[in-house]
Amino acid sequence: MKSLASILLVLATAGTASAQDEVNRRIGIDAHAYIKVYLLEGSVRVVGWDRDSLAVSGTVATGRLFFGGAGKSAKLGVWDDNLESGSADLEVRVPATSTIWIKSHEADVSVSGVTGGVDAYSVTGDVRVAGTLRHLYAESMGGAIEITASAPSVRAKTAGGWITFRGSGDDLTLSTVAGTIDAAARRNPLRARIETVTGDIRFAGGVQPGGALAFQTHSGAVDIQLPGDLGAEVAVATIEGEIANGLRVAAGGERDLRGRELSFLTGEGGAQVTVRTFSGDVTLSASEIAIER
Amino acid sequence: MSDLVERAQRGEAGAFDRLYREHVERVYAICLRLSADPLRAEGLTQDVFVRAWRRLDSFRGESRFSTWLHRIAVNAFMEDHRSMTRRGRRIETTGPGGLEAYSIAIQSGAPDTRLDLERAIAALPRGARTMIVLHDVEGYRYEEVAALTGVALGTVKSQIHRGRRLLREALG
Amino acid sequence: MNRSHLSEERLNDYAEGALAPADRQAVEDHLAACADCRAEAAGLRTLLADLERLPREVHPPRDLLPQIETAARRPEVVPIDREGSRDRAGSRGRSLRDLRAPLAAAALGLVVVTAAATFLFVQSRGPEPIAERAPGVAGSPAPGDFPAGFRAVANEYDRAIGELTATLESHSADLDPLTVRLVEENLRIIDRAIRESRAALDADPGNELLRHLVVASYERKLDLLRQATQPPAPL
Repeated sequence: MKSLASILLVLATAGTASAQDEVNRRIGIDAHAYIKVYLLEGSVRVVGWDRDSLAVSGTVATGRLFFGGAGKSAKLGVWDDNLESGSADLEVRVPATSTIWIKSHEADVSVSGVTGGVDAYSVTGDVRVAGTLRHLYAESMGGAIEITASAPSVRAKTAGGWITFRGSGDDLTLSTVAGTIDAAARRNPLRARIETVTGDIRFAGGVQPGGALAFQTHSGAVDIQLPGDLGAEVAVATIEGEIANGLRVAAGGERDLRGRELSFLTGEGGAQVTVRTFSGDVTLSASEIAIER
Repeated sequence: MSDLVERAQRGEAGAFDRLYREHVERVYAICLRLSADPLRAEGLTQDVFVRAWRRLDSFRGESRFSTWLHRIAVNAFMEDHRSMTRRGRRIETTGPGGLEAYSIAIQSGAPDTRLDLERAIAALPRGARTMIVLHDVEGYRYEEVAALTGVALGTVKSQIHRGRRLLREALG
Repeated sequence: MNRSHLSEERLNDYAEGALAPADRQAVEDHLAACADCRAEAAGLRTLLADLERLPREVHPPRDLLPQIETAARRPEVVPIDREGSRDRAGSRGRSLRDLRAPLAAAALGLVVVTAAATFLFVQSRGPEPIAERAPGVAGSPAPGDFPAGFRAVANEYDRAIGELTATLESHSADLDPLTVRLVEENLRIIDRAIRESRAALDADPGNELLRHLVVASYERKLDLLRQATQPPAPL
């Protein structure tokens, strides 16, 4: 996923930067440490382990890696504010219960096996997070975000990239501009907000009683699969899109004269499902697959 | 007065950001425990720093900056509570997501805390919780608690005693 | 043998160390002979020690600084329920513009308009989720609840966004080219959406759905610009 510009950048600095060096460093650290990782280019894989230490291995531009910390706090990475240092490919082992904060420019990032919180920011690097976490925040401008994780609160935001979510969380916010959002919730969220501007939205999952799912897009196609026995108040409104409803209508079902609004109850339960689009078509269907409650 | 505060008052670039980073965890802690609601606590924390920013010139170093911020936090919480009551919002013990959301927030934000005790505090009725947090956790004197909350001294004490009893019952 | 125990108040005062020496002595005399009260006192002292030892710092789940800076620039139109506590804007000699580079400051100026406009719309504050109801569902705000000045608000957005975009262009040499290109691509996409929904709103000004959609697109645009202008986090 390297752009031409970044390849040229690497070539341009190849003369000044030294050859890549092997790296293998390790320090003791608190099990619940807060670890900050910075990487401009390349890749970083953060993996939790059951030791109270922080270890980094891989290859990095000579002299550019900073690595240090003690107790509850540590920092490592390859960074400079002029965005000119070389790239690195790192594997970082962290205590499984630590909390991770990652900032990447173009580097691809992945985190797994960490149960503390994760905050990941990238410009064009992809972000992948897996596991069970205390919270998850992932933001990218051009990169894709892939979440196969469970956390009570999951927030993912990207502009051009896709968001793929396979996991669970009580509170989900997924937002893109042009990227597609593809979300399947293994357990029903309490609250979900799923938004794009032109990206399509695919969602499969339910919602907890009293909870709310809100979908919004300008022109993306919205495809929502809900459990057939979900009791919810469903309201869909669009200006120019088409609405196709495959859910059972228990009561309501008003359509306005333009045929572009639909609101009905699928049953008792007090949950809400709201869909708003400008021109995106909306398809609602009942999923046959039993969703874990 | 701290050098950093002075620099922020003078409008030096980045100084207020540093003040935020230095103090946000203290502020969030008190907002979280008072409200027992992570989302409200975030809103309150933001509110505290906005007020601090607006009133920064009025801080003259008569107390520590953290103390000053702290009082702003407690006042913000009390005002927020009063306005919620005025609007007829039902005051729940904990926020949406209940005790679980709270437990997760406090444990990820303060990993080595005693979770059973934190949960028991969050589960207290709001009045007792406010008093316990201010007096027993944060260390305000009874008179200060009464002044901050606008509750009579005798009531403050009796709510605290009740809160402690409920906590001990909950902890077994 | 004790026929009576110490009162809750007495035990609590004792456990806190708040008794005068004479009273304390009296309590201790009682405790020497009363196992139940001893247990109570010990239990209370343990609890108080535990409470005092709770961590005073809790790390918030995310960085709140961007929203703080947004809100700090919020105009004097404060939420209705806080009329009694209006804060005066920042005093002389210091402004938020000093905090960051001109580019970001312009972004902040923008976001003010957003915050005010969104507030006028949805009557919420801070990060609390908005209970969302589509038009037509019972309980949603009636058209009369929306301020008549929506068009004025939308024009404000445009004006402010225009300023920021111009600033972005003039500062594009300072920003990383990769970021600038991505921002521009996505801005084009969002702008098309804004144009379409605004045109529709002009033709159907009372349409609540359209107002929602327009605001949502503006918000996304400003969010994108804010993302782009975040200075690098301190190492």
